[in-house]
This record gives sequence, C-alpha cells and structure tokens, in this order.
Amino acid sequence: VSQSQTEHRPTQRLADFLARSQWRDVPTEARREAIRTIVNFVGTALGGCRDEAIELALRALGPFFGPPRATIIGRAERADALSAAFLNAVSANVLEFDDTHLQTVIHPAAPVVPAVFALSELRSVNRQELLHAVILGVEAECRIGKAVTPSHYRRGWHITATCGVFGAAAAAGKLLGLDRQRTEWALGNAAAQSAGLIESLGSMAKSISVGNAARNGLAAALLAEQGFTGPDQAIEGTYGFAKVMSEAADFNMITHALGESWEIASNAYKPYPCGVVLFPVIDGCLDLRERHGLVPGQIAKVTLRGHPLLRIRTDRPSPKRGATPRSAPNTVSPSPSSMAPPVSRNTPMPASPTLPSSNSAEELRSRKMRQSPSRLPS
Amino acid sequence: VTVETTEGQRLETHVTAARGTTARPMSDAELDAKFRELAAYGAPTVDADALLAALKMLGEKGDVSDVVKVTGSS
Repeated sequence: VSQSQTEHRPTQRLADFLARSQWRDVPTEARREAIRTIVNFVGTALGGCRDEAIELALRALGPFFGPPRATIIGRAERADALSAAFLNAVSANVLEFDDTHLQTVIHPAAPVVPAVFALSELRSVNRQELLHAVILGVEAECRIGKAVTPSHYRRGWHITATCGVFGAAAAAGKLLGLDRQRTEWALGNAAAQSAGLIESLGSMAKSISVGNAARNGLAAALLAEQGFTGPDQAIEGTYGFAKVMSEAADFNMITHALGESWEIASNAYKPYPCGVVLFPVIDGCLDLRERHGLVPGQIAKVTLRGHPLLRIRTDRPSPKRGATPRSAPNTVSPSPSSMAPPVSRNTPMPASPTLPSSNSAEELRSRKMRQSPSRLPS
Repeated sequence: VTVETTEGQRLETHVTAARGTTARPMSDAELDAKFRELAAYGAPTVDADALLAALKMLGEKGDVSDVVKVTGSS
C-alpha cells in the first residue's frame, strides 16, 4: 500500500499498526508510564469501588450477570467479563481522580484497562502482553481523539467515552491476537457504539458511557474475533466516526509517527480530585500554608488570579445538586463542591485539597453539610 | 494566590506549573501514596502494598492472572 493510499485510510493504517506492533518495539519510557497509568487506574478504582453509582449499578444489573469469571476491583463479588469491564471503568472514573491526556482531555485508563483486565481472566495472558495491550489501547484512543480535537468535545461529545471505546477495542483486539482485518473490524464495531454526552457530566449517566466504552470495546474485539464485520472506513468514511462526530478532522494525527511517538508517555495523573484548572490554586494555597504555618482563623481574605476558566468553572458560591455538574466540561470540575469535605462518609477523601479556609469557603462548607448530599463531591 | 491575614499581612505565591501536569509530573512516590490512600478509603480489606508491588512487576515476564485477581477483595 503506497503512502498516499494510507493517508486516506487512517483506520486501516491504525489497524495495521496495532496488529503488527511487537513488545520489543515499545520504548522503555512508554512501558514505564504504562505501569504508572495502571497504578493510578487501580488506585482510583479501589477508591471509587463503593461509590453509590457502583452500588446502584450492581443492584440494577447484577441479576443479569453471566458466569462470575472476572474480578470487580476492590470488591468480593465477581462478574462476567463484560460486566466487570463496565463496573471497573465506572469505579476508576467516578471520583474524578483519573489520569488525563492533556491534549485531548481524554482519561485514557478508565475505558482501556478494565477491558484488558477482564479479558486476562478469560484467556491466558502474560504480564508483558497485558502492558503492551494497554499501551496500544491508549495509543488508539488518544490518536483518534487528537484527530477530532477540538470540535468533537465542543459539540458535546464526552471524549473519554466516545474515543475510549476505540481504545478498549484496540487493546482487547491485541490481546486476542487479531490480524489487521479483524482489528479493523474491531475498530468499526467500536465506532458503531461510540457514545457519551457532556450533558451527562454531573449525573450518574456519565458513568454509563464510560463503563460502556470499556464493556463495548471489549465486545467489539470479541465480535471481530469471530468474524463479525465492521465498515471499511469506520473513522474517515463519509458517514464514519470523525465525519459525523466532528467538524474538521485531522487524520494525520492518527497516522503520523505511528510507532515512533507514544501517547501514553504524556499521560498525567491528578493530585487532587477536581479539574485541572484548580490545581495551581490548590498548589498555591498549600504552599502558603506550608511556608507560613497558616491556620484558618488567621485568614481574612483569599484572592485568586488565574485563567478566565477558573472563574467560569469554579465561581459558584451555591452549587445545586443535579443542576451543577459534578464534573464540568473540559476536565474542569465544579470546584466549590470539590473543595468541600466529603460528607457521605466518615473517612476524609484522600489527598483532597486542604485549603486555608476563608469565610466564604467556610460558608460553602456548611451549606454543603446542610444539603447532605449522598454523593461524594467530585 | 494572595492571602491576607487577620493581622494585615499579605502573603503571595505564583504557581506557573501545576502538580500533576506533564510540566510537573506526579513522582512515583506521590503516585504510590495516592494509591495507598485511595485503597484505604474505598477498599480497606485489600492488601494495598502487595497489590502495588504486583502492579509494578507488570513489565516483567510471567502470568498476569495472579495480579488481576488480587485487585479484588476477599
């Protein structure tokens, strides 16, 4: 296939890369970051595994589970592989403590790792194969995400879910040893299931699309393995993923330097369970507290200067549950609630920002307490 | 961030690169600490240290089922 032809066939080119990729071709820095990605993933899943969304999902869907062959992270119950993939993706994402691919704002691990974990309990898989599959899954979802950024997200697509399903399919497909054709079908079967709306952020519905990205990506690969066909040009076709779900796709993002540069190498991990726009504020407050030994009673006023998004996303003195997203568009979570202490549990939220409290923060805190939300702040 | 204290002191700091971004990545030690805290918070019956050690061996040879299974709680 000539260069000019492959340019017009990014889906095929990506499938070819995924099918051919060898563990020895993956550089050390990508392997190292993959382990950090998985550590962060399992940690966040352990933290989220008893969230109300998980309990409700288990109650509603548990009666339909198949043979309990796969682990639900942090829990004693087991489930069929597809359901375990769903639940583990929800657990990992529900506390807003994810990893983030900053260029696309995809949270790469939540859709990909659960698909791979669940499959590893059905088939004999070695550790390097698992790591390799995760690296390739992240590569696929982030490259596809880059191709449709920024118009895709701007239109209201929740990119972690919409692109995550491709990542899960790519990763599971690699573990299954799919050839190029079947990998292409797996990507096509993923495209047919790509979904997730920004509007759902702040409600439990967000978890459906993130969970489904893992579950349906795994299903896409299992179907392809059996010969279940997908379209020829799932991403770039006239009515393909990119054409339908974005305005100006740059397919070069999918094919350029494939196998030379690795998306997982630029994965980042949240130190605080909130949107990235708040990180410098929290850093600054902690820094001042540390340096000057500040205690709440000493503080008369706190003034923040920063990116305009900080005000847009976080200046909400009285957030309403339901109306105010738990996590707002653009990786930026609604911060007042994220600064408030968790009230639904006895133990404090780990690593939650301990801000020197101003009067307004105190007020906010007590308001939150009075509202007695049954959910953790995101 | 500017903090004014009740004694009229003005304390200022300017953060140019936030923790947890590629410009100032979380260190391995910070990630491990995050892992342990989250495990203690959501799944206190899981042996976090053993699991963390197992996850760090993922780049090595060997079967993976023992690693994935221990992510569950007994």
